[in-house]
Amino acid sequence: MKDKNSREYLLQKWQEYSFAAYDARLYLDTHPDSRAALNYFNKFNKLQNKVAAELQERYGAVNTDLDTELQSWSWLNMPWPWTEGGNA
Amino acid sequence: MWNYQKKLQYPVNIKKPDAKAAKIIMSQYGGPDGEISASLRYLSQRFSMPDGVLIGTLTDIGTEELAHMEIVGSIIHQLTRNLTEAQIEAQGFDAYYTDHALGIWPQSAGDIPNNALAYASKGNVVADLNEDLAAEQKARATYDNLLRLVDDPDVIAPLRFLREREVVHYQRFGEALNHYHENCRNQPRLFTGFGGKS
Repeated sequence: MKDKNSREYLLQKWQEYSFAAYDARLYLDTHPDSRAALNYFNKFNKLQNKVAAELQERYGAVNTDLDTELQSWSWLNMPWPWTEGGNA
Repeated sequence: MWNYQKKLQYPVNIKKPDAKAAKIIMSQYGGPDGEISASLRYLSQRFSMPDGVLIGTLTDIGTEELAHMEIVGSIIHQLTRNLTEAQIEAQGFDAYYTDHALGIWPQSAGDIPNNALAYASKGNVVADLNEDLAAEQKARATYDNLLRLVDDPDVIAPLRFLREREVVHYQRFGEALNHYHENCRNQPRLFTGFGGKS
């Protein structure tokens, strides 16, 4: 059973939700009147921000546009996305 | 204005170094049909687009290409990390290593530096969108070529993701061109609404 509080789990969920939202965004750019697409975008945008905020609070800054307050400038912490341990 | 999020759009976890693969994958970093070329093409073209659909599409696809540039850079970095001198020479990486060591520099597999002549920004909607359709096919074809040449499943996985995205982008650009033909032609340049079918 994967630990839902682990960095790996939260990072993977963030990547998944974020990608779903981004793909919906591209669809909306050429189908701006699609209510279904807008609902889908809103759902995954909310989920990606929620899981990113959790990741940020537990393991350090990953998106400083989020509405969370940093306790330290953890933005600089390793890993970075291409380094050892940077991906789930 | 761009915000950076500390993640890759798709994970890259490569366990086995392979400088030979890195050398050819380099084309999707700095080559003529690679991700840097794509992002600069779309992010440049958007300035002269006449409405939000076209500006938004080019902005968002151009931005995604920057994320793809990052994925390709990560693949190359992980393929060349911790190489020994013997591996560098044996895997045909010594010429690149001479000028860049294990650093990432935008060039093609054939050692041509990234060149703006490979991407057009004509300031003409029909020309630019057709350019973009072709660009996505060229990128997709390049990924097809790479997928034929690499064996490692850790490398194949992100390359297949990136190839899929080219197919999706092609679809979006086609829709954008249709939108232009249906809604913007023979209209004043500041047209922002849609009259045609959605």
